[in-house]
Amino acid sequence: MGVAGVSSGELFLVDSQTGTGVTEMDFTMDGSYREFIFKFYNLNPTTDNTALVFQVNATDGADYDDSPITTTYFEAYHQRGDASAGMAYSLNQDSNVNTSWVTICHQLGNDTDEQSNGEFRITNPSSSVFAKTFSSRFVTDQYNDYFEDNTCAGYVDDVTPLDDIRFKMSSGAFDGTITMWGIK
Amino acid sequence: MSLVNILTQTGTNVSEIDFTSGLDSTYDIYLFKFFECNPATQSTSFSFQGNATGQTGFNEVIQSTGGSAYHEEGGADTTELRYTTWTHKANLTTFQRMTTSIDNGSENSASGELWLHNVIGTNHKQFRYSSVFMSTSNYCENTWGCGYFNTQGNITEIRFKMDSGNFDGQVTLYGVAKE
Repeated sequence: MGVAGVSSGELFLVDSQTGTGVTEMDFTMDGSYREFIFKFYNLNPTTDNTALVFQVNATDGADYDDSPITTTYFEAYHQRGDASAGMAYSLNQDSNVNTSWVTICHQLGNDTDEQSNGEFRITNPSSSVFAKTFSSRFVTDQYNDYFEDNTCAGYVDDVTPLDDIRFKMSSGAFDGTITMWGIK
Repeated sequence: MSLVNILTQTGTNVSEIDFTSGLDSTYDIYLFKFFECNPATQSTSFSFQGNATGQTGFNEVIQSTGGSAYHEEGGADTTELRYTTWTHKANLTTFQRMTTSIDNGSENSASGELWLHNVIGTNHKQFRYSSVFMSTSNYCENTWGCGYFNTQGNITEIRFKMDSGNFDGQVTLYGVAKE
């Protein structure tokens, strides 16, 4: 996963956080990079059937609650016993001009062998001109014996620069590692 | 894997951004990242084409496939996951669209990436792309796709442009190193 401060060409590892029983992980985004990539490793929630969510702070905000976010969200799913499989847009997971927490993968299971892994990208959060586009993709062991591939994309419809991002579960704490890479 | 920045180009009200060097046999994979591309014309698509060594014009034969997910902001809340005939091509020489119709509002733009594999050699030159943007009439949209240049020539030049009109934006070409 690397060590913060290490670079790999134009990819720079800015921060790496590993938590056990933590309620959230916060990262500070500055204007040094045009894109940030967050990598998620072995996320395991303490609460069964919860979701991984995020929100941002603009430089004029402090409480992760006033940047409107709209997303698309779809899933490919397969039940372990092969009872069901398919691909669909997920109306229950997307966001519509939402200033609350935004889901990027859902229905995580909390068994010891269940986990989520994936990545989240956001373009130029320090822009004072454009809405900030982002996208994510996760593979998830769900609580109900489904295995899913979740894809979310959208934008933060706020032209104020963003400087903070928080990842947490919609309920309860979690174990796992999140690394933050910057691209120049 | 590491990224090596080969060239960054920033355009303001330009009709196209061309990369005429940097694509060669140094890397097996090249990555273009496009940032905050805002068109002057309403409802147009961000697109690319290649030019093979020794040829003229950006008009190589492309075969491609792709899809999108969209979500309308506001009251209607319309959503769909779909195959997009707007972005697929069946051995055509026109520009490959990487978005559907981008809204040209001052705060709206398209960002994403285009990966090119094995641009040198007699093989098909494969690519894949993805982008996120606000499309016309307040739709949040995520597009993706893949395809190939159906030529045995080396693809050493790439042009980016809107289907119609000029645009502001930035495109960076990276070489993707194995180490």
